[in-house]
Amino acid sequence: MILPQKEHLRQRARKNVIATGIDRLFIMYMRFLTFLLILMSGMGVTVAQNLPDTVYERQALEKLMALMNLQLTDLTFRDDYTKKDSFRLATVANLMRQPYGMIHFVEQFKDTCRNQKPEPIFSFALEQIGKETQQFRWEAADLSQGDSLDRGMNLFYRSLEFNRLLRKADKYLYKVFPPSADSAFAWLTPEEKSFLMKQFKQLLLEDTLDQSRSPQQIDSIQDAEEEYIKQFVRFGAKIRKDIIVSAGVAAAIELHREINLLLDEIKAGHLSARGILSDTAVLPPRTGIAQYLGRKEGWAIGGPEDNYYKGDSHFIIDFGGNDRYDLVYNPDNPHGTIIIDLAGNDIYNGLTDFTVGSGGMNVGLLFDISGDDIYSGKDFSLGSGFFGFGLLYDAAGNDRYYGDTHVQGAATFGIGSILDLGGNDVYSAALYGQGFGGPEGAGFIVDYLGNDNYLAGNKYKDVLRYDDHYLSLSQGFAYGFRPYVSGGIGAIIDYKGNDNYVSDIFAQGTSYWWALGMIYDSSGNDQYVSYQYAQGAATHMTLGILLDQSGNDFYRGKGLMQGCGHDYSCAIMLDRYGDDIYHAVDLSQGAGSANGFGIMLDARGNDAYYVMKTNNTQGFGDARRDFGSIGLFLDLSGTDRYDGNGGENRFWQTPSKWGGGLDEFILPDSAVSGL
Amino acid sequence: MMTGYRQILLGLAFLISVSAENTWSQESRSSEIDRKVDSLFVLASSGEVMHRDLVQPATDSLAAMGAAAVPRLIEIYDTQDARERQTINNILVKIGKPAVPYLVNSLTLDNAEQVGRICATLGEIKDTSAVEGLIKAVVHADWRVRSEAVGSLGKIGDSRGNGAMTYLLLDTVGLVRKSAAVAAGALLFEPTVKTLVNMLADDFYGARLCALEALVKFGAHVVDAIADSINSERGLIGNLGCLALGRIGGDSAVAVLVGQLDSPDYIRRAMAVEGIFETGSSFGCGFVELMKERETHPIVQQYIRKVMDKHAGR
Repeated sequence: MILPQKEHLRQRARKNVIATGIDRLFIMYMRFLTFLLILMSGMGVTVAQNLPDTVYERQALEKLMALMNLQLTDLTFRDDYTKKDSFRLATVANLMRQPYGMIHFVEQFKDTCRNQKPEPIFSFALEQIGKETQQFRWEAADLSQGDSLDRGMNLFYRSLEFNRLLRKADKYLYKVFPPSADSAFAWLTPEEKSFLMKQFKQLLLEDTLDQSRSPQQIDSIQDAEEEYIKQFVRFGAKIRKDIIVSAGVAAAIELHREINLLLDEIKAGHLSARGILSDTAVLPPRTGIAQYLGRKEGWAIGGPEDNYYKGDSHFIIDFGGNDRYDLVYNPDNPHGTIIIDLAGNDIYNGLTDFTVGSGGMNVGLLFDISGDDIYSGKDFSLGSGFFGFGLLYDAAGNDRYYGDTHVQGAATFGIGSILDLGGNDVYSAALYGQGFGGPEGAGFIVDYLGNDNYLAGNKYKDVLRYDDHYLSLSQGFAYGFRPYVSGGIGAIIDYKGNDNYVSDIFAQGTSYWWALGMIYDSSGNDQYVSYQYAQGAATHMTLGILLDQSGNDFYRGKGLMQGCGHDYSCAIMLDRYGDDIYHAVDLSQGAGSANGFGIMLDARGNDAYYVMKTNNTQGFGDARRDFGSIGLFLDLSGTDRYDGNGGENRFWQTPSKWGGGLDEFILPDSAVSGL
Repeated sequence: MMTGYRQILLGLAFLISVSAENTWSQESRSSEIDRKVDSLFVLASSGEVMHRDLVQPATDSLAAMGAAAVPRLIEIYDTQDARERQTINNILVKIGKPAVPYLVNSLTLDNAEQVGRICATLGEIKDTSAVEGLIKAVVHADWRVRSEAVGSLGKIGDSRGNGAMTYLLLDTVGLVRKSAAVAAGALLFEPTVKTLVNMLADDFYGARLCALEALVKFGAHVVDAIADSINSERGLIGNLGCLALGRIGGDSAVAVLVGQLDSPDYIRRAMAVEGIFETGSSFGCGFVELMKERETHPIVQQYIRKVMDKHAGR
């Protein structure tokens, strides 16, 4: 009786062992499977996240669009919604055909600027202001070709390096700029040339008195302005801006090189400012001093002490000291201007328009090599190219830039730029500034280092929309005269630092009428604040993009922003890395309006999105002209917070035509659907 | 004889003088009207915030002038200002039927942009007397005129526009096809159904999404046509077809949608689930519930959850 019982117990025990073994095996197998699954999904994520940013983003966008029965090729515009004008830039026209290419274009621009060398930057910019209808580019006129180094010149200073710099300046000021300006406007009558500096200039100026004018007065001003534009259209195509702009580009490149050679010699101890300035020629009796290189009228050469310069100068070089410049320019007598300041905390004060690195129907160059400087100008100043080329190059220091209209990297029919290589800088402008591109213009600021503040607005009220907001039309903004003259390219490229961008109406990677406005901010925890039409916005057949590469950023505003395209326009707001906060009231964060496309894309980081109105934000398309606009919202990774239509780890569509969003770039389809 | 001749001459002179006076007086009246229109229009089209209160009264006054204001309004309809353009449209629409003859006569103007705007205004007035004029405009060389003309034919909703609309469904310009598709949804001309189904894969998103809307308006008649093409190689036809079927609803639509739940394409499965969600069919929901266990794609799962939540809520 006992034996069978024992046997039974033994058998049970054996069974238990076997069962436990099987269980263990099963558990191990399951653990292995789980591990494999985690590994696979991890790989999936890794694969997705190791993709180049552009591929990763593009795949996600295609996925979202596919879910909405849209294709990337749907993001395109015709070029004939209205009659085409003859001022349309090829770059803008091409990007209108494939607006998603804006991302590539911005990166290309940024890469070109990376090495802090004027040559690639200006060559690139010059290329971008080619017209759609243009077959070839006109070159600068140079009457000095074939001249030997010092032919026909009396030398006053003995330093070879210094004389070489002076000679280059002399060559550009008297043998390149004047014939280039003559050639650029050679096809214009004297009245037409005068029109550019008078009536056309007025088109870019606002008046604070508009706030109190009657409807009849405003109507008559608008009629007059429209007439000016029509008048300009009749002869504007005869302007060969390339000629004067190429002359400016060549001068900027060559003088930059010469300045660096001179600085290298000074740094190496081979030369000194005092040595250069004291080692001068013994003049023969009765020889006119003005005949000597560096001693001409309109030229000034200052030593390392604090100096004061005033007037309508052609050329100034200063070796040091804290200097003050009171600059004037007579637009009735356009000429080139070159100012080089090698050291010191300087104050540049523009007493008239067209000063401080400004090219008004000519070329204006300002190189400041070091020191904490203050640049203050009126209209068309501080790196302004108005039918010309303007450069303000600041190599170091914490600088302040103040100006009114068409300032601080602003261009209309030309190139206007600020290259600021270091320091914590403040840029303050009222209108059309800080990377502004008017018709046939490329205006830009490239700021390489420092925590910078960009402030635009607060002077000219936006009388069309508000009684308590001001036009900015700045900070990577581009503009055309609708519907007669297409706009240009306006850009801010800011590499490092925690930057603040503050504006009101129209700013921060925005444009109006066949133009491209853009901001590329590479790193730092940045703050973008604006009220309307900003942060990747585009209104009326045009393009805008704000691309912030990294940093924990903050975006705030009211509406028509953060990836909002209105009226056959496309705008992109792209933030790649960092934990970001987005705040808006309406028509924002991936909103298409009046057949426009708005794309809001945040690739990585733990982000927070807040909107006040959910009926037209976070993936919204407005049903205008019997069909739809497209609004796309994408957050590709991270743990995110939403106040609005969006939600973590999901796809959504809004009750609109056509809008939707996707949070998380879910595994590639082949990994989950067996396709 | 001489006296008789003199009398005739005097008579003629009198007639000429009276006629000239009339002409002068008419011209004077007309220029007076123009001046009135212009001065009111400055206020009506004013965009500044501080003048906003003046806009509506001025618009109303212009509309109250009726047909008398129309010639001048048409004359300035070539404006390049968007606000002015919108203001003119609003006034003409307010004037309504009395404006139509003037507008139709102006369809032969040289300025295509202006003609396009006139077509659009006629569509908003919705008077059938404009139909013949609009039909003539659908062969205009400028696509903007064709687009507005066919759009307006749809808005007026007169079957005389069927032929023109069908013709423009195959236009070379996407925006014209879009307008024709919108018109098709209004005119509901059955021979266009097949074209509309094909248009679900149109290169231009505006055309395909408007074709979807049009098909939905046709209702149950188009289920077979969509079913015939649902497995087309052009995936968009099937995807958008599922959405159309969902909004049309009914058993036959649900049956087609259920057949798409096994598609190897996850987007098609998602669209089929969405279609079933739209129909609200319990029968369809049952199939969605069955696929729940085997579905692995997170997006489709999200669609399924939506159906399940709706179903559970009943």
